[in-house]
Amino acid sequence: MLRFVLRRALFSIPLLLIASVLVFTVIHLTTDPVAGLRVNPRISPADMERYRHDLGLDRSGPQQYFAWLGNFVQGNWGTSLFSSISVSSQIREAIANSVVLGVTGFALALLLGLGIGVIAAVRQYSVFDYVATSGAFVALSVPVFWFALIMQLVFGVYLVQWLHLTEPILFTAGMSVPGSAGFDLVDRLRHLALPAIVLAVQLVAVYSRYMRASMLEVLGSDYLRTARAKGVRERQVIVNHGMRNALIPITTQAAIDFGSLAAGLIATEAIFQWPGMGALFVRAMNDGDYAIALPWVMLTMAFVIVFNLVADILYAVLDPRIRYA
Amino acid sequence: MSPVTRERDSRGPRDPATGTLLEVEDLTTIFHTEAGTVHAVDRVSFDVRPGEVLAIVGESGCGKTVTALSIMGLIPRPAGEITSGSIRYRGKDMLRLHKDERRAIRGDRIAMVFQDPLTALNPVHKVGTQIAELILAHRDVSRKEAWRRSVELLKLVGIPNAEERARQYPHHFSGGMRQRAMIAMAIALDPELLIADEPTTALDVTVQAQILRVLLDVRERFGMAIMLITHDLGVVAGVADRVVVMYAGKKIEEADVHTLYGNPKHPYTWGLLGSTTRVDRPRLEQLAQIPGAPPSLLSPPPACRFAPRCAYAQPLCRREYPELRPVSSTEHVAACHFADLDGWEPGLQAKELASRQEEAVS
Amino acid sequence: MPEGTIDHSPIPLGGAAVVTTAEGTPSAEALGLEEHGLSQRALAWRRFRRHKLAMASLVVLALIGLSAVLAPVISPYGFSEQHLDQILQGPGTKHLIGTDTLGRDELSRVLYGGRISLLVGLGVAFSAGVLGTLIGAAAGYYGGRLDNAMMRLTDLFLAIPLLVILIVASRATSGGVRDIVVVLALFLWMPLARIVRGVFMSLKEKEFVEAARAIGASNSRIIFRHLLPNTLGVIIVNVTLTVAAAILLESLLSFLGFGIQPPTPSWGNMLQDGRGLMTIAGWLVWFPGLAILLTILCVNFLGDGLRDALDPTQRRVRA
Repeated sequence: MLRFVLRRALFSIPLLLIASVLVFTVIHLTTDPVAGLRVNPRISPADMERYRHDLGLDRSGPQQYFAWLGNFVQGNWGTSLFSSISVSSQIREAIANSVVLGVTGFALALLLGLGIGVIAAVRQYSVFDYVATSGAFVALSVPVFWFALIMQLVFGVYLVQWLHLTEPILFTAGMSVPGSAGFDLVDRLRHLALPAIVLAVQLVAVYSRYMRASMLEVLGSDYLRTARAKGVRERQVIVNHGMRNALIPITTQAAIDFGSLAAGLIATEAIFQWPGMGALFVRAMNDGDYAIALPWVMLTMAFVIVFNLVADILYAVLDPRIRYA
Repeated sequence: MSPVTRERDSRGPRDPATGTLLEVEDLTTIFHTEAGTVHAVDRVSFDVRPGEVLAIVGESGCGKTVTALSIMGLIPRPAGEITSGSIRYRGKDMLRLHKDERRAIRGDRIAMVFQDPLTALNPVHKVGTQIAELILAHRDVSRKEAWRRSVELLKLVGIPNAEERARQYPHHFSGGMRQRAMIAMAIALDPELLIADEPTTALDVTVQAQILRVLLDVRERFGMAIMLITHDLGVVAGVADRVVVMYAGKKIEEADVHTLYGNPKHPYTWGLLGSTTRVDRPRLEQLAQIPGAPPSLLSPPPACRFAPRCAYAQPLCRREYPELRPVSSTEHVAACHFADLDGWEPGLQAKELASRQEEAVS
Repeated sequence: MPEGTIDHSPIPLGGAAVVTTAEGTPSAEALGLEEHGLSQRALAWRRFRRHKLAMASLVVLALIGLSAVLAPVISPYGFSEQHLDQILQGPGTKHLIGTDTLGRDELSRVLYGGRISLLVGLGVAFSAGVLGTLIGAAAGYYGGRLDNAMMRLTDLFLAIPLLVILIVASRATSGGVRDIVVVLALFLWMPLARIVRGVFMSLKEKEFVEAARAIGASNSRIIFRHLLPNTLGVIIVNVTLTVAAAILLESLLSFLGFGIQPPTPSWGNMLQDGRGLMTIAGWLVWFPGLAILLTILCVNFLGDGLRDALDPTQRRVRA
């Protein structure tokens, strides 16, 4: 097992390196950090040169890359190209915020989605099943970012107007009320609610479908029939044999999806102005700030790789058949 | 006496209680499908007596497995439905019982062994756990006790290193061992009826005999009745006391095993009994293989279902359904218009036959 | 699950029972369901027709497509035609669904936006489809180093979330339709390639291929005459679903500012434009969004119907 993990980790390094080269090249070729300064008439060419030299921009592409790589590996992530805030602190803060949103949304989605899927499968063809299946289908066709905008409209404008409220029930932007000091849990939750719901919506749809399909397959299996033939209580049959087996592929998929959560957060955070990794990336890419973008990509990829590994390990833990393969 | 079972100390079959163990009467089970309603089991009746081995024989799709599932209450709803009939266990109709009462019987008093032990066991639970699960579902004992009993049962069916094996998963077992484990599981609580659905079909020929041996041993030891479902008449001969032959959802012959092999009365049974020419009878004229295929169960013909494939079919056969009629004794019935005809047996010459049949019809 | 990924799970919408042949339960074959000797194509069409939603979606999509093609003809105004005296007007008689902050007619912009989005969707699906099929077929059939290379490559890109790659790659483009199509197709061919590879690998071992080889059929003949027709169903379903994914991804990218650049209207960048003012001009956000939703919904229904009709791997006995 340990060897397996180490081998996978080792294989991932070239992956990460290649990705970093690609990202660096693209960004390098398409941004000019001093573009804004060029149009400023009060900066002399000499100053510009000095500025560029300080940023290391007068060296060749590969040289800049390796310089960056060296620093990156040592944990020296420097400061953003466009502000003087340290990259690592920005990223750290962003990660913290994203974790709050991501974990909340994901956990919510899984609980709801799996629950709906199980019930829909056990009560196949019922009204519940029909509504759940159709609902999931529609939810998957709705563009999530548009749904987020509509939610903002509904909670930020329509409900406030119709119910004559002084402030929205659920807030539509930011993490807390601007200007407030201290930590107010209720306030935080009211800010967290909408982005988490938006994040969860598609996941719920996806996982309810997965779970329903997986459960249906398991419910039609021979061993489930054997369990019933043994006279085991139906509830126990559903849980110990149905869900226990149906959850295997789901859990591994969930681990993988969690690894890719960063991408899912991008749109949601941008719209709700949640200061997390997604918003950070969009800003960095819009600015062409590769000092932030590169570590961001490296971290995100590492996260994906780690969770893919977790998924494989989970699979072996849950399914004894593949343990010695 | 162990709190888990009511195992006898003495060997040999239990004294039969008065009457039969299981009475299936007029059972009809259908399935609703995209193409229509499938009549898988059509007004089938038979009894199972305490301690006997009753074989249910027929080709794939004849309804024998569905019959077993109907008895166990494992017909998937809403796709499947038992539309008529009764299944009396010790006098009480199981179809009219509350589902909890049925569940109490399932696994405890009537148990089932399935055809493919690889798919019939849950791959992610240990074998010992699965056996213990059955025990715990019906008896108020500790986990440890149930586990101990599981190991004991595995030993009983001839699995070496039972303790270690109980902690393993199904895929670690060979096919024969898996089936033994299934049998161990089924007999855990000393049921009165063990239904074995094609228990040897998925196994190697060499292993088949072993498994049958296990079944017989178990029956000798515990005295339970066995309902053996199979398409293999070779298996039946050495093992069964009585035989029920099914075709296209109907029972078409029933007799004790000696009578069935010695004096079968339905042409389908003749076909099943195979190509062995009997030394004491004239050679069969027609091929022993039964040409054609069973009829669609969607809309079975109203008359004899075997007629399209029967070498002896007459217009009567295609007009009127041959209800089961006694032949020689009440213990032997067959669903053929000519079953009680003098000289009705395999190898009958066609000309002779035709004249006799005409006589019978007129 | 990241936005815009293609759902390959074989889950039917219709809710028919997938009654597996667990012991004793009749399978479709055992019930003697003969299809009266119809050809494959006729069978598939019959099954498709039964899926009413898919049929309806086909009609709706045809209408959408038509309106996109005829946009220059049927739009009341040009898409960048400004009416500065009529800015931010709600739906009304002169502008059926209102105007934006520069007085541009929203209806015209939605129609032209549709052109762009559909163009991108179809273009990406077609290119990714062709690319994915060719590469997947080659990898699956020839195996060896080609297959290895393809798997490694797709593994690499599977490790980077799709949206991230697209955002990075889109920076290297000018924001025109062609560039976006290229960028999207460049990454969306991979799932199809893996599927086609899988199908080819399993079909390759079947007897009819051996038979064809035995009578001297060349590799390309085997691929095109035997293997490809059998994969066509899966390819068609996948390509259809890719259209939806492409439209969704393009809208998302444009919305975030990385896709189609203004003034070319795309439903996505229209949402970006409207976003700041949506509190007072909700129509700017509702209509383009509904357009995306309707299109994707229909494509998904269509894909579902096609999957029911064409995917041979499902055995269904409706209960």
